[in-house]
Amino acid sequence: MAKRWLLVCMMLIVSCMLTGCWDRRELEERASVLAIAVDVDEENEKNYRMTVQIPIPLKIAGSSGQGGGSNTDAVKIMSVTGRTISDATSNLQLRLNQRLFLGHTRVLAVSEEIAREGIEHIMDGFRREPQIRRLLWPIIVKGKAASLLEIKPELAQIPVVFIMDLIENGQKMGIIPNKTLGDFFNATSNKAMQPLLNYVEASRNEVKWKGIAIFRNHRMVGSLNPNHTWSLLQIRDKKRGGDVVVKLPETEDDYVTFRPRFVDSNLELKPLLRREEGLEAIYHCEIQGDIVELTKQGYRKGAPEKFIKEMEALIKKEMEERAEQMIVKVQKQYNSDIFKLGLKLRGHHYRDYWIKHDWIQDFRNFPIRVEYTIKLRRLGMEMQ
Amino acid sequence: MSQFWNAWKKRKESLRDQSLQQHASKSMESVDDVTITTDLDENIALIEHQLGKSDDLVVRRFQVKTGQDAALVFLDGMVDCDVISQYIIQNLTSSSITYDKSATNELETTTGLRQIIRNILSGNTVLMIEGETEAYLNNTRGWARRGVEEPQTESVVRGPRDGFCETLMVNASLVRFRLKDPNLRVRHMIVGQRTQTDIFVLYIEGLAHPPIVEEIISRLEKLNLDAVLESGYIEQMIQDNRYSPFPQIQNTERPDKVVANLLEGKVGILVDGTPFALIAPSVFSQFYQSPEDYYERFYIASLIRFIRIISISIALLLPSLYIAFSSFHPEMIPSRLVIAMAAGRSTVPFPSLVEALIMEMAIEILREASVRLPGPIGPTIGIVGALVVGEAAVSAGLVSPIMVIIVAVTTIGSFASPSYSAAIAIRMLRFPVMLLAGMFGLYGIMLFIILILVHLSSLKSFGVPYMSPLSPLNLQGMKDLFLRVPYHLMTKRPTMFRVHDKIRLKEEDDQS
Amino acid sequence: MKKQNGGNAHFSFTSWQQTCLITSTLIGVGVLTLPRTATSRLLEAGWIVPILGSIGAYFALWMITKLSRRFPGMTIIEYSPLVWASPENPRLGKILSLPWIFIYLMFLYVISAISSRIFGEVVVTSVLLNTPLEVIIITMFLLAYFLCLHEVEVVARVNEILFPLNLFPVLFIAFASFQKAEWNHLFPLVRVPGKSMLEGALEATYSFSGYEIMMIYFAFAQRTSNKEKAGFFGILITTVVYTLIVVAGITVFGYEELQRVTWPTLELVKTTQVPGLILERLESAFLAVWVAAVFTTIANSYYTFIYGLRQFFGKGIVFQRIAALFLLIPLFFIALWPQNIVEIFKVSSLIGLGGLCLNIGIPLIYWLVLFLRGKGWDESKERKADG
Repeated sequence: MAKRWLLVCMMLIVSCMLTGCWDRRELEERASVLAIAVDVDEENEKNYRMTVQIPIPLKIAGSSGQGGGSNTDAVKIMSVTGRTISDATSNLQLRLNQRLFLGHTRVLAVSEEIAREGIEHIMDGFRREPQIRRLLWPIIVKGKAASLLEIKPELAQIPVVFIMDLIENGQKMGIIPNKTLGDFFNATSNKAMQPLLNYVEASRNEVKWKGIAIFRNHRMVGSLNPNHTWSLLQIRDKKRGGDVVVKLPETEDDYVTFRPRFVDSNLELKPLLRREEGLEAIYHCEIQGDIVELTKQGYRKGAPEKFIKEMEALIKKEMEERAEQMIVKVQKQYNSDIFKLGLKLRGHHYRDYWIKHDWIQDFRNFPIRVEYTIKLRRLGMEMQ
Repeated sequence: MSQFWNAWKKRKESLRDQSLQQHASKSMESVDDVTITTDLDENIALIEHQLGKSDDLVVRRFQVKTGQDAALVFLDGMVDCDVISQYIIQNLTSSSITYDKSATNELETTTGLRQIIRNILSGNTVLMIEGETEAYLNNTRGWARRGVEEPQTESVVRGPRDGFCETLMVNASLVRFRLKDPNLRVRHMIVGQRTQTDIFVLYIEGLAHPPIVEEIISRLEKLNLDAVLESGYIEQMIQDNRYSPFPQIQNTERPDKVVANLLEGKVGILVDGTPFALIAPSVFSQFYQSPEDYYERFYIASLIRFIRIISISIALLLPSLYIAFSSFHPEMIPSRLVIAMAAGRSTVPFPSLVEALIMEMAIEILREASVRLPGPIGPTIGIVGALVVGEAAVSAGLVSPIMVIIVAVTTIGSFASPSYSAAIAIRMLRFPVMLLAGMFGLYGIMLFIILILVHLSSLKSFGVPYMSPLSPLNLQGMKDLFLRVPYHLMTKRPTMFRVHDKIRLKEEDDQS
Repeated sequence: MKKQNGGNAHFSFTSWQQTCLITSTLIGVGVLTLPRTATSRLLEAGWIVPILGSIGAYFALWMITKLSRRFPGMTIIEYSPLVWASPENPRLGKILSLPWIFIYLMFLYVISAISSRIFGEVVVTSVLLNTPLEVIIITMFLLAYFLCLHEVEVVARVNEILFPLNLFPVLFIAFASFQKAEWNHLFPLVRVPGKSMLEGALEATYSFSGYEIMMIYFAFAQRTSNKEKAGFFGILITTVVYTLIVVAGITVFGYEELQRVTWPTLELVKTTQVPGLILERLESAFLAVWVAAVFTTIANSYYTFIYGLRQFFGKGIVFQRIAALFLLIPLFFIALWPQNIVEIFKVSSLIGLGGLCLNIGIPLIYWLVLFLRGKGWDESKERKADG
């Protein structure tokens, strides 16, 4: 009997308590921000200008309303200023009918100007906000960050979707690194790593991936062009990178194009032979790939075996040169360990190297070499 | 203190029980001790008095060959007149009275008035002869009955097509016909003070756990019901937890299902007047298991079981998941989809909880209406109603298109459960989950699931935990829980029903 | 007292149910912060912490098991008077055992309060941002109360049923995040001095509290079941889960980042992306499924507390139901006691320490007393009872 009475009591409590639905907010009651761009405010150098992109559901093609139309209307772009990011967000809220919702923010565009000053201050708000995804893509934009949001790509109705696709597909093809906010956080808090982010440039109608931005602590120190980025991707992430176009020797204007298919790379830390103590890092990078283009007809003269060897040597030389340039740039110019080299050093040479050196400074002088092994597997549909 | 309290309460209860019983049996008590006499007229008067001079009571007087007056008493319409005229009257008037047992196939004698009345009421014919102290009871039951037809609620693609009908004896024969085990025990009982319904309790001796059988029989004996018009009365009265939404006794229209369950050591209850037999004890797996699982190959059977489990989960959870995702956790929906969904919802004036409730109510109404509608129109109205109303609601901007899909899938999912009474439990529980989802999102759904799981774990069906063989874990039983492993691997019966003869399949010698 | 002895006999927890009880009680809110607490002292080597911590747990549980073997079919409430005084003097035994039982029950009570508070905090900060914390706590309490309406055997079955739900989310997250793992984060293997190592291990033992409920539940074990084995597997499964989640945390984040995030396991879920899954951002789903694990922790502790009270006063199920309802009110205030997140973690770490003392202390003291009274191991008695 008592059981039943208690059950009744429980039901009463439950029903009294549950009269509120505190967190219920319908889809259309949320202003989903798909992308955020952070710039410096022109009027007041100390302020941030935050630009957001919010889709307008009714204008999206396929919605139950009349829909469709030109993509000029599909998103609303709003811009506010504030002393901090949260300040700007609350200013933005004042201008919106629905509550801001950051759970679908996929892209965080930061202008190069701000990035070079350091983005520590911006990132803190994103670290604390539970709605923010750790998988969103921070992107450094050359020029104004807002320009990335204002593009009208036409291939996709919503500009952010275009950028998302660009990064996703690039990452699947192995030509664009998948650098998320989470990676950025990890790298900035880790003493043995330095972060890197994608670097793009937006023009009126389109956006172009320009390589990566290199950070040193929270500050952007420079960028790498796509070719160098691919070298980095190959040795660091075993991603294949883009096609390699090499000028054929003894020709005026003829090229061979090599397409990497599979990349394997491993890092060897070896004691230096020359000096008493110290280590050197050697990246052994093996690339298998095909030739996809050879502009000079009848270039091959000797036996096919010899041709393959020749080509492999040619590509190897080119790749190693690129990697060499990239390493010099990263080490001497930027002095930022984006190779995850420090991690390996700390892990495997903690006592004999790590505690004796200040990696942040000493990375500059650490000898790094890259040895490519090119394995040319196929020549495409052409046998010549 | 508490002991005293308990004792007092117990006494109070027992007193109440006694008075209840007295009250219930009063009407019958008056005839209990009365016996018939040698005087035919007086006997007839007694019977007529008891039955209150019903107009369908027929008293046919005649003389037997030896010249004594005799009378046949029966209820018109409940008897087979051919049997009476051919076998009884002809026999009695042409041959000697010492014909004894040759009149009809079932003849017993009695002196008790109560038994006579009972037999008349159940369609038998009473033969009374002047000067004899005993009345002869002849089985002449022959009221209009439905033949053996295909079961309506549990149709299978492959499997026997016969289902139980309303006649107890036919039903029993359908079981016997499949199970020629001499150990099959049939216990006859009568329940219902007024309806005097015959029931059969079936079990296989040596398989069924005797305490379970005894428990069932004792609960049936204690049954203080006025009327038993359907096995549902019994089911709801003897199950362990009468407040639970989950059926703790399985019901079926299929004789093959009854036989299969008897062979697992369970007990079947056949009730006169209904095609639905009861099977106890029963566990949660009845929600998604069908006899067909055993008739088809095990790959298909296991796959279909998974599909049923998924569709039951869909029927229970899909609308609430939609509510949770769309109004609490839109970040979980892929960005591209969420934009489309927001576009679809932008004209809808209600929160998704209300939207879902409206649509679910509408579909329940449609479903109920199509059951009531006369045969041929039913499905038509259902389809027309669903299509027209759904389409109109979307174009009027009352509901979002995705909601229509969800309601449709949910409804279809709830039909995939082979057990109707299990499916309606799920149908009903869908609404509280939706409410909880509308309050706490996924957290609310999980709260509800835990609540239900705790409740299910606490349920027992005649001493067998409802969630077995999952908990308590029983690996032998697991072979037939989600998967249906091939027969040659199911050599043992599931032990959760505490079967005594554990071996189901002897190792075949020639197979090695 | 005598009444329950008779009642217990027909309860029978299988070995697997005992294992489930231990594992589900252990795995609870602690997992959400475990990667952070484990790496706070031992840095990269944080994954050793659960393994080290389990040693203490094995030892304590082993002693508890032995106690239960010494007094088969009896809960700590029932055998305490027998430990402290001879059976002829039940009143003295009861008085002497009172402080221990009180500490034990209070500990369980506080554990269920703080667990629900921590869970409430994580829900409120990450998923249901506007829902009052009190509501989350109350709903958890009501669920625990619902369990308290039932008999002991139901607890075992509920734990058995929810067991997959306890393990699945953690294992899923751990394995799913291994594809993002950077194994160099795990090295160097050992770089901290031995002292921090010990401190770390001690701290880790905190996350292994909860098996003290077995002081009650071992009494209902089936006579044929192997309690030592059940306990061993219970702790082993927990250790494996803990180690996996810490390894996943370290390899994905690195220990420096782990120190910065409040709920590392939840952040781990956030970084997990399952290709082909329709849903993005699994943290809400993870927390929802995680309710099961938290429920088993809170409800098991609360049930054990209530059941202990019921046994102590020698009452029946009705007392249990009423007491469970009314004792929820102080429980609610205890849960709301810590004022901020820092205090909560401080309290929970204190509770961990207390749990360690209690789990090792009570059985140890009981055994000492038994030996001092010359009633240590009674072989013949054990054989008779267990055989």
